[in-house]
Amino acid sequence: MRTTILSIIATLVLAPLALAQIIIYPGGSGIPKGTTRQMSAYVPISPNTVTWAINGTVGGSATYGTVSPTGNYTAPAVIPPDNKITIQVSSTADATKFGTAQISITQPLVYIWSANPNKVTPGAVSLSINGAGFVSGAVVTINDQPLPTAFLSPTSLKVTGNVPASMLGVAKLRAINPGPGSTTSDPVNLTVKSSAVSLSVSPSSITLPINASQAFTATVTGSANTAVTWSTNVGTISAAGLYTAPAVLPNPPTATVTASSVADPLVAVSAAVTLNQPAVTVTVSPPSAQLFLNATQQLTATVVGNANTAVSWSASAGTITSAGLYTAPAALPIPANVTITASSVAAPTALAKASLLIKLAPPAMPNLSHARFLDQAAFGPTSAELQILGQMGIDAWLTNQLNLPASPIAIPATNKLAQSQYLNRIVNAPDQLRQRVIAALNKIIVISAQKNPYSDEVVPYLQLLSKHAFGSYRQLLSDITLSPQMGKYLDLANSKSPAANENYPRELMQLFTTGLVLLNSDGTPQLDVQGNTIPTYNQAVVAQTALALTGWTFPTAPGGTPNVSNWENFSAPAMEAREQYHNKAAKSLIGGCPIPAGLTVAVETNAVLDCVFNHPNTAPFIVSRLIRDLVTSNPSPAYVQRVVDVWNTNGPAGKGDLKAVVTAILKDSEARQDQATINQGRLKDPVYHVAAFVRSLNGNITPDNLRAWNFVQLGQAPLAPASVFGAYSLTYRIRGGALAGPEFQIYTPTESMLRGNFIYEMLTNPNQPDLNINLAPFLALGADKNAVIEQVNATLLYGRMTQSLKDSLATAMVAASDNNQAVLTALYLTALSGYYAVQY
Amino acid sequence: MTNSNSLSRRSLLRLATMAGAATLGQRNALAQAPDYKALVCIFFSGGNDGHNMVIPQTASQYNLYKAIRGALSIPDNNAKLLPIQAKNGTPYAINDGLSFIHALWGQQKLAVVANVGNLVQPTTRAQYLSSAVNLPTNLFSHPDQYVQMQTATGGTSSGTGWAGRTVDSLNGLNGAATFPAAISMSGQQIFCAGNIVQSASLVPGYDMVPSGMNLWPASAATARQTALQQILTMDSGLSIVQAANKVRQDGLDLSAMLKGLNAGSPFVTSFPGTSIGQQLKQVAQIIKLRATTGMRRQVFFCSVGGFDTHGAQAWQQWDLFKQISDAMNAFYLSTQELGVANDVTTFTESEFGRSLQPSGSGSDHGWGSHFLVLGGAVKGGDLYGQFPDLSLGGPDDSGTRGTLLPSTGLDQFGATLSKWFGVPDASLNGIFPNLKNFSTRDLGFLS
Repeated sequence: MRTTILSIIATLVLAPLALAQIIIYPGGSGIPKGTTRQMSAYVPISPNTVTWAINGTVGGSATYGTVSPTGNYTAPAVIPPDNKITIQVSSTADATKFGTAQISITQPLVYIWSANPNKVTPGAVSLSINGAGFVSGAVVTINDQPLPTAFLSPTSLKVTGNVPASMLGVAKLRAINPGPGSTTSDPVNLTVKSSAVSLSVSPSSITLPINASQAFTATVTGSANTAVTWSTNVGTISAAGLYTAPAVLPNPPTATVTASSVADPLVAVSAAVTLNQPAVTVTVSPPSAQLFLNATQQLTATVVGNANTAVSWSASAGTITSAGLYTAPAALPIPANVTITASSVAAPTALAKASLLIKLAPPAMPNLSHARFLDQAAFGPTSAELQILGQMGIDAWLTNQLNLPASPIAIPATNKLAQSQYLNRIVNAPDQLRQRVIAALNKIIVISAQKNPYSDEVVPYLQLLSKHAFGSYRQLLSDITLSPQMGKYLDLANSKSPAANENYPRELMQLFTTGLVLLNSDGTPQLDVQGNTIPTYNQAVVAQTALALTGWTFPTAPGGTPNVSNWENFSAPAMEAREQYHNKAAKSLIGGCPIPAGLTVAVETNAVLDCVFNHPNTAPFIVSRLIRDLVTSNPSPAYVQRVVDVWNTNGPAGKGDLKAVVTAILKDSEARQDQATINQGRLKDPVYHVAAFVRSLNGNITPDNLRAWNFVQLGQAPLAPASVFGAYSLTYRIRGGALAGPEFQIYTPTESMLRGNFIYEMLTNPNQPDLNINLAPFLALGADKNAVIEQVNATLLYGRMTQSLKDSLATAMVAASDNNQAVLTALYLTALSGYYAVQY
Repeated sequence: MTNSNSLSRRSLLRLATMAGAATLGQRNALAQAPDYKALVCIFFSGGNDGHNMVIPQTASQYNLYKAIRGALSIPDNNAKLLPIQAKNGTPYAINDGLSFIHALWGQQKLAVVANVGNLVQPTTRAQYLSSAVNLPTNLFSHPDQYVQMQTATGGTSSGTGWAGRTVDSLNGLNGAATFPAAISMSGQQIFCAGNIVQSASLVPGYDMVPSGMNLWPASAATARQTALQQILTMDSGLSIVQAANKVRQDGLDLSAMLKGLNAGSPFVTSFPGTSIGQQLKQVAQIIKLRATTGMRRQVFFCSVGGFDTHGAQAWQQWDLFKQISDAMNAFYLSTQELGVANDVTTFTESEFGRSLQPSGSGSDHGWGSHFLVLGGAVKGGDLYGQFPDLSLGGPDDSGTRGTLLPSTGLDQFGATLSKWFGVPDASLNGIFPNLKNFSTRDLGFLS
């Protein structure tokens, strides 16, 4: 618009008035109906304002088109009968001055871009015409001869007709929008050439019900190559010409089957297929399913439209009975999708199909309850132990374990060997429950090879833990207190009145019996009115207890002479009393527990142990530690209370009967809760973590293994913790939270990396001489990644693997370089997950 | 988990998970540290013979020393005497194994704290001999004194170390930063264990790279790493599982950080290739990362073994001193390079000293010994505490062979360091349970 006005002004300045004549641009021409065109006028008159009129009407009309005051002409949507249109521009300054232009309205402009195919043989052809501006009724001509044309869209026409042999060579195709003001496209070329090949298809037409199949044959003459290529627009056709109708009736219910000669692709013949819904229909249920090798699946067929509802069944792989009971093959078929066909006996063309996906058999998931139980009552399950437990049930299994003879614990030449044998027993000993309880007691009552460097200074202590694991905690305290090993470790040996050594008395109370603060019987701390914890004892009690325990010395060496103070000697299970170094005064011990004057060393020691053992703190203190190691870091007070009640009920071994206590811990409803609650479980400690991993993979750690070093790195040197506090405190809390998580004390970022790396070392070196695991069951599953994942799920997580974890594993496995790497990926990533790091 | 309350539990956990999902670096970048302090312990493991580390140079004491020490006295074939002088004018000498840090005495960056040891309370010879006061348990025993020197609980026992408790009390300063606050370069040590703080042990130069995460093809490695990341951030709905995942995530982040240590601009300072040199280099590298980690208070533990010199002491101790002083000097220079020389205090400890009277070519387990303190904040060029009278059976001898009765308790030594570190005086008694028994709570060697 702006350019038009500017041009008018420019003309005004330059043009002399005398030559004033109005001229319209553009001049007369055709304008496609419904389109607009901007007209301009040359007006050499001042002022240069004009009016626009169509066929004498200013602004025009619907019949002949409209024009705006600025000359924008809009052609009518319908071509007027006479199709003669005059545009007139008149000067408003001088009505005598005007200009006119004649125009006519045309059909839309039409274009052909291409024809497909663009080469044909004479005879029947079918061409797709691609172009623009086609109107309904558009006609394609070949060398100006019209061909039957179907309008598909303004850009697409379909031509089916006959190309006469006279047109051999290059023919011109044009499209015409007919009618008044008709338009014709520029031509495109169509090559017409004859072929020696001729082709026929049989049947040339047929009617088929849906789902039915029909074999088509093609006969090629004129070429040695009689091959054809089959295609269809609806349904499917095999390379051999077997056509399968679609399962749903299409609209229109027709299909075209086309055979093209391979020798001359220009030569193609089609057959017309008419599809119908058969009078008889068959449906199959279920239409699809997944099943494992050798598994069976019952299929049912429903026949409608015939009194005879019988069907005949067939399967592309596997077997199916006449009653529709399908049995999957024993080996995975290729492809793994099996097609089941049910066809009506009355009308065999009426049929239906079902698709079954055959999968490798899944590994059996262990009984979660049993696997969890073995996490607590053993160092995790082995497949053998799961089987035994499955046969016996928990009660009988417990009874059996409680009565198994203890695995012998020899005193080897060195503590290094003692560590190796300890690790071996944990993995391999049949009396798993006893080994598990020994390990728990080993965290409560500690002797360390760090201070007791020789094997006879450590192993007899371990023998005591084994001996009393299902016995009396009180008796264990007696034997430990008198043992020369503890006598050395915490300096009770040669503790003499009046300068009594306070080391043992202090730890006896702080760690082995009562703990530092007064507890309720459910293990929660007692609080004073200010809300503070209340000390269990004070320094005076420690001093009194130390005096009460004076008078013990190391055993006299065999054949040696007893001294008043013997040198270190470990040849006997108990120390010897020296009454002359014993403080015989009356004393008041923990909680005011009285000791009368004049007792002998042995009698007074017994009295001291009664005082600490019978203190109300001891039951909840020890019980909560046992629960934390065996079952869960955060037992409910009610759980502790229930077990404390058992502790306080005199069993066969009296109060503190560990057999009854351990049984109560393991059978408690809170331990047997297989659906984990939010705070359930405990982080595996390094020895347990590795032992359980080896056991679950049916592996072994030999008695002469050199693996103690690995556990030193992981913060849990077997039998050699840094102090009497053991490798970690059973009261340690997870950093930044209120939850107890003892094992987290030695699970810092560094140890988490080292623990993961140790797992990786085992996985990548599964057959080391002193440590092996069996990966064969995983490797055997080979390419079936889902089966591998389920095997890992069964073995490490007892069937509790979440779908998201499975998905992550599957994605990582797909990227692995081979099946073995994929297996390694699944095992390793699962072992690194928190789900596996925690016993829950 | 029941359906009725699973939603709220899961929501809570998801929040926790999201907080935990950010990487260490991201979280820590938010906590930019306005100030930084580090304590670095160098533990002389085995019982360092202080008698041949700091030698009296007054004529009477030196003659006494030479008379009692005999062939073990220095100077000898290896060790020469390097003169130092206390601010009060008293002359001493240090073993020239410490030659690399001798100049730092003159620069007033190095101090000696004399005759320190595990004590429950101030103890005289008479009190000790009559057992009239509480004493540390199992004096002269390696494992016991080693632990007590780290726990500062002589006479009782503890599951935490005094460094761990020290950073515990300043945990707030480290904010949300999750890099370990107490790090041992020499295996797990109770010294670093706290009730709250994250402690860790690192292997110097080893970036804890997780195994099995670099494999062929690279796409498989990426897929495995990606899957592990997904797995560690899954919401299990189980607190302990989430906590375990968080530790591993922190481990991966820590590993990535340590990997970055070597990639960053190298130190101008060159560290000796000895074990202690590499331990201190790793400490310096972590201090260098302080802006990234967001840590404001860190404690480090390094150790050197071989001080249990029952024989062949002369050469062995001199050689160990050479290694240590070389590394300490490099470490001090690196703290200058990092601009934190005034913020890092290095100190030595040993579980006990040794007998002045030799046994053969070595010496036996003792009690009190001399410790070194080095750093820009140290009021150096001086000797603190009370240098012992070397007379056998004298007031500073716990027995008859010159096994020194400490005149300064470990609690006083540690409390001085912790106070400088920022621990309020009111909190010191909790960290050092025996400190209440001593009237001097600050030995004054730090400003």
